[in-house]
Amino acid sequence: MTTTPPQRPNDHLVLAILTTLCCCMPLGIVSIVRSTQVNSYWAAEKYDEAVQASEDAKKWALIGMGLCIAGVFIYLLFFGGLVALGIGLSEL
Amino acid sequence: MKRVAIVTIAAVAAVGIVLLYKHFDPTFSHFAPKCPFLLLTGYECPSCGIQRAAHSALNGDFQRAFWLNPFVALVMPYFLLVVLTTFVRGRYIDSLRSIVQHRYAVYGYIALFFIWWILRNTAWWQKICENIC
Repeated sequence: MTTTPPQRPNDHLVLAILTTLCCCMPLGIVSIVRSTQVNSYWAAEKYDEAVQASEDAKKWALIGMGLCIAGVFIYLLFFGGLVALGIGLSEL
Repeated sequence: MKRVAIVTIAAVAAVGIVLLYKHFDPTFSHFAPKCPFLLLTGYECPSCGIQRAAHSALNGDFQRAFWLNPFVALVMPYFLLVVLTTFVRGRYIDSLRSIVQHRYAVYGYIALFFIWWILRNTAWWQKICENIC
């Protein structure tokens, strides 16, 4: 028995597209596909599926973003380390 | 309150990124993050070139900025429309939303994404890019 939720869940489409453009494209595509399913399920009165799709869309977009930002930080740490090493060695 | 905080952080980050990419040329700077997909496979991903394009555009070279990644340049207005129709309500915007955020429009975006991904790694495209970029 499905009770009618008060309002249509957020489809997180902006976040999903941003993730595909940012750099973590496979997860962004998963997120976009789940995002489009939110409205379809809602229109078909499959409320539980709509809520689930909404949560998935958000989850994959945020994981994609997180990986992207973590990747940039690791990259900068790695190169920062190399530069520091280079300066250290040149002063020997 | 939470909304205000998010908007403020986003605005500060945007200004920081603009200043950063105006002054640093990612083509020659080792500090600009490289695309992991390009490093691992040797093929360019759909977003490759946006750092160099941002630098070119911010310094007035719009032609080079466009050709470095025409996909992102063309999709940017669409993305801005999605942002607009997501966060602003109104009669005209509601009807605009039903077009911009229609399932088929989003599927079109995904299709374009994969077509561009394949196209840009062809020898044909890379020859074009060599002449312009």
